[in-house]
Amino acid sequence: MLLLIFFVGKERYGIDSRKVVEVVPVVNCKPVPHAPSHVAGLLSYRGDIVPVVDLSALIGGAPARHLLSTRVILVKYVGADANEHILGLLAERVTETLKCREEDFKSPGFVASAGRYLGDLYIDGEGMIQRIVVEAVLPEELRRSLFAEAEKVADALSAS
Amino acid sequence: MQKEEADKVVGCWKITGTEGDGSCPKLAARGHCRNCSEYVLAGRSLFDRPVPAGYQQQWTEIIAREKKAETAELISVIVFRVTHEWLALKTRYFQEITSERVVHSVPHRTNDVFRGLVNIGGELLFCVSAAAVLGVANEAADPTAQQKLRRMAVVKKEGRRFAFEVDEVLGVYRVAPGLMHKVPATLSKSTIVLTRGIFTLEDKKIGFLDEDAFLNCLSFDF
Repeated sequence: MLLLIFFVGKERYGIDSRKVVEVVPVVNCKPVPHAPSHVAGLLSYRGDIVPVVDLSALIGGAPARHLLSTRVILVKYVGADANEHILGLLAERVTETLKCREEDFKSPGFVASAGRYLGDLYIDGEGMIQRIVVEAVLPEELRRSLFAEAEKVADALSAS
Repeated sequence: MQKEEADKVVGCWKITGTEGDGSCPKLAARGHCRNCSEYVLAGRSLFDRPVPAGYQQQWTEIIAREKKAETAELISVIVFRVTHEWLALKTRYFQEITSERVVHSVPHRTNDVFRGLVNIGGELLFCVSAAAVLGVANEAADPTAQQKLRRMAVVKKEGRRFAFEVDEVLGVYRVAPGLMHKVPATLSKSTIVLTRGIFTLEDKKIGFLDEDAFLNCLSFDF
């Protein structure tokens, strides 16, 4: 499988490329008032409204810097409503992919309750890469509210 | 400006690596700094630059738009030049494009079309003159005309491999068949037979070669 690598600080994380729809440069998002700080905002993506989560803020606590290497990774995401949505993940230094074998991933053996989106680990010559569990990136409550919002918008549009 | 920025970077490759005194212990195993992850990471860090003005807004607009469905019908071609004529042939017929080679003439066999034998990776292949096959004037290739750009292309069709010289290779492009125009009937006959259409690329008119006709013209029976 192919792992799309990104950095939070000096640490490497990866996203299974099978989940990735598109990778685009950093773009302007519409801020969502009252949302947690790691929700970068809403993005108009090819006719859809896509929520964007700032992985640098989520994992590292500091929002992603806007550099050429900072990109929005658009991933397939099965929401609480069991429908497939698209979720944007804002991450720094998205410049590398890595070919690796599924069976080489090792369980971290320890998961903090708030960090359930941090999956198993892959070890290469440079250190460890932690895989992101895309489904768990959004906390349950946020997941429902975010995609509920998207649903409502869609419903309102189709009704008019 | 980018060059200046790159010069400012003082990487280990300039101190202990191939550009320095070569004392890096990893050098023996990796052969050259470009095979080392330090070098790769430094190169990638060039992307860690601030976003230019307007870039972010531009991309916001691009991804807001519906993606134009790329027709699955796109044809992948390699665009090359033979004398003054830009031509394209489907990529899948190309086996390799390599540097210019010495063509060894074969006594009593070499003629305008059949140029001789050429050594490609230890295999002797027939080398044909695309210019002669296409009937494009071989403007006695003036020696100053960018010799560096000349390449030897190796093509394969139905198990037969042969080589032909091109004066320049532009690269691999994907062309929508809808953008192909018919060849004007006023063109010389030989070109019409071998060209299926004409398309425009970077202000160049490019003749899209009919692979059957063109490659059959290139093949020989001895």
